[in-house]
Amino acid sequence: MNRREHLLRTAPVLANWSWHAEHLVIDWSSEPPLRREELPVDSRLRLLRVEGEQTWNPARAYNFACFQARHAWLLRLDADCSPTPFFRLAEATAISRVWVGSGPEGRFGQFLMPRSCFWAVGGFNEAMRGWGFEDKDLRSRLEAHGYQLVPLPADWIDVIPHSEALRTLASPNNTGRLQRSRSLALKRAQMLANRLVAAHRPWSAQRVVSRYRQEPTGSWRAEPDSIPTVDGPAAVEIAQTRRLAYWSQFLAIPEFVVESLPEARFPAPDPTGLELHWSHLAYWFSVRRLQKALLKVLRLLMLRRPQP
Amino acid sequence: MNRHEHLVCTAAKVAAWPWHQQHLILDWSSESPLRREDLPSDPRLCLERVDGEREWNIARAYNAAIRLATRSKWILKLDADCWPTSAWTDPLLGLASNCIQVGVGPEGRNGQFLMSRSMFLEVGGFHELMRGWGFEDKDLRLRLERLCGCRLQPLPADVIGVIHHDDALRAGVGQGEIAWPLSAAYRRSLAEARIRASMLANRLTAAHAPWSQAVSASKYDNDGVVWRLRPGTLPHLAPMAAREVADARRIVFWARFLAIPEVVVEQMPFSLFPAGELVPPVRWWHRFYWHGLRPMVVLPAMLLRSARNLLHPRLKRRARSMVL
Repeated sequence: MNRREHLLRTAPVLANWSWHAEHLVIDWSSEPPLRREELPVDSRLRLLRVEGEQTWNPARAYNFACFQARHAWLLRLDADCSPTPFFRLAEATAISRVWVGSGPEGRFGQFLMPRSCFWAVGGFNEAMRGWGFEDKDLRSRLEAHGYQLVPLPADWIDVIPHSEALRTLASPNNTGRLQRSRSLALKRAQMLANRLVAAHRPWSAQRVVSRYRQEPTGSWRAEPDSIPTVDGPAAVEIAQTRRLAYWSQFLAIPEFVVESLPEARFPAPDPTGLELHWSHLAYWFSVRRLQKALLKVLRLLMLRRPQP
Repeated sequence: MNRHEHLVCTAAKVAAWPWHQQHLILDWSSESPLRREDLPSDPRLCLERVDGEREWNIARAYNAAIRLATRSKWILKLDADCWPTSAWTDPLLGLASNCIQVGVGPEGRNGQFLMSRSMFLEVGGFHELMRGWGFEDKDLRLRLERLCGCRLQPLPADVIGVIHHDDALRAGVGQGEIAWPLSAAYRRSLAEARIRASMLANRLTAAHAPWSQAVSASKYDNDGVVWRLRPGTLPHLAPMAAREVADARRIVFWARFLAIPEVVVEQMPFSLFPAGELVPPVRWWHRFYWHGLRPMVVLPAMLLRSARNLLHPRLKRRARSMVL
């Protein structure tokens, strides 16, 4: 979603790669839509667009992609990832059944596995929202299913370095300190919320994934009733945990203090930043920054003491 | 574990209940072993002891107990402070085999249940990688619903009696590590921090390592008198997940206990906010901070909360219903 710049750099690398039979690019409601003519002239490349999504949801997006893929093996690559010349697909598929990303930056979430393995565990957990833990959750279910996971060597995948803000915020171009702090808080909150989703709503092959229908324009749209959700007390708990974790991290306030403050003033986080009020900004620029400076001094003092 | 007073009281009440075939009490390495002669002379009552355990582990304790309870196809799980009341008559009447009756209501009723033993074993029982207190009962219910298609049927609150006690007892506050009398507020605060940390850690455990029948549970050997864990059978979390869970437990505990933002606990040196085997050790500087500085953060927040509760009773009810 909205990662055109990355795709325009990684798609030509894949077009020059000789090991794959199909390259499926999913445009998850990007604004403006990705156009086929922007991408390399490669007969293996297929561009599909999903309309009507408000936020990036890697679990649903990759499940949709894996469902649409036509071949027996799946190689997941994020928009900022591309295979290096060291990546020899034929050898990899001959050695092991399930390969998972390893190494720094965004390599961890990538994988190479047969379609049958992916769907044997039901794919990604679609009750999760946003970014974080969907890859670890998939791995733990694959392992529980008896598959042996083999790490993909780090030098098989190239990653374009980028900020956390690009992963979490709706307008990631503003990369000031405030936005970095917000994106970190949002990332933490999402990661924790997705862990609770996995605990409360474990995913499996028996779960039903979202259904999509094709529109006359050729793009796809999810049927709203088919999107899996967590409901009941678990949903309340997850929403509350996400909200408290976000504000507690962003403004560095103890969670129970956030609990005491009015929810209308400290609402659920929003990637577009709609939850921010001038009082939050005033607090962040004054108290939070002072607190950060004091913490730095304290840490320096502590580190200067001889360690036992 | 170390709940003799409760057991002596509730065992007599269970002995007076006519609807069961076997009453199995598992003494989970209590410091002074529970003696058979302290319990009612009811031939249905069996006392077993697991020796060598250093901490209370509800999941492993109940899994071991239910594997030992072989006289009936049905299991009624009751904590040491619970008993079935005389209002509960003929519990199996009209109970379908795919139905579980679960405790609802205040105090410790939520974790109690009545279900078929085979169904319990079919989902692998309780999640043995969880430690401390919290979420093991919800995790079991979720798996029973998902894997066996069980229907949950609430038990009326009046069929289970519970001895009232505070969370400090549940969280093991005052057991072993502290040698002087603690104020009620300090005990409550310590217990709340431990329980919060444990509840989150157990949720993360369930997320990282879903439990099922395929996961090998702990095994025990009997030396003729007591049971002991068979070496090498204790399940473990994968190292990366174990680190994350332990860190979350440490951070949540200190953040909650000392009313410090989690992000600050994370950034400070580990030695200042250390981790323990299960419960982080509280040092003199923590106690100093708790008595001296923490009230400055807590009191305004509590005043604000009280004011909001007075003005908006609906918010109060909602806050109570929050689990975590």
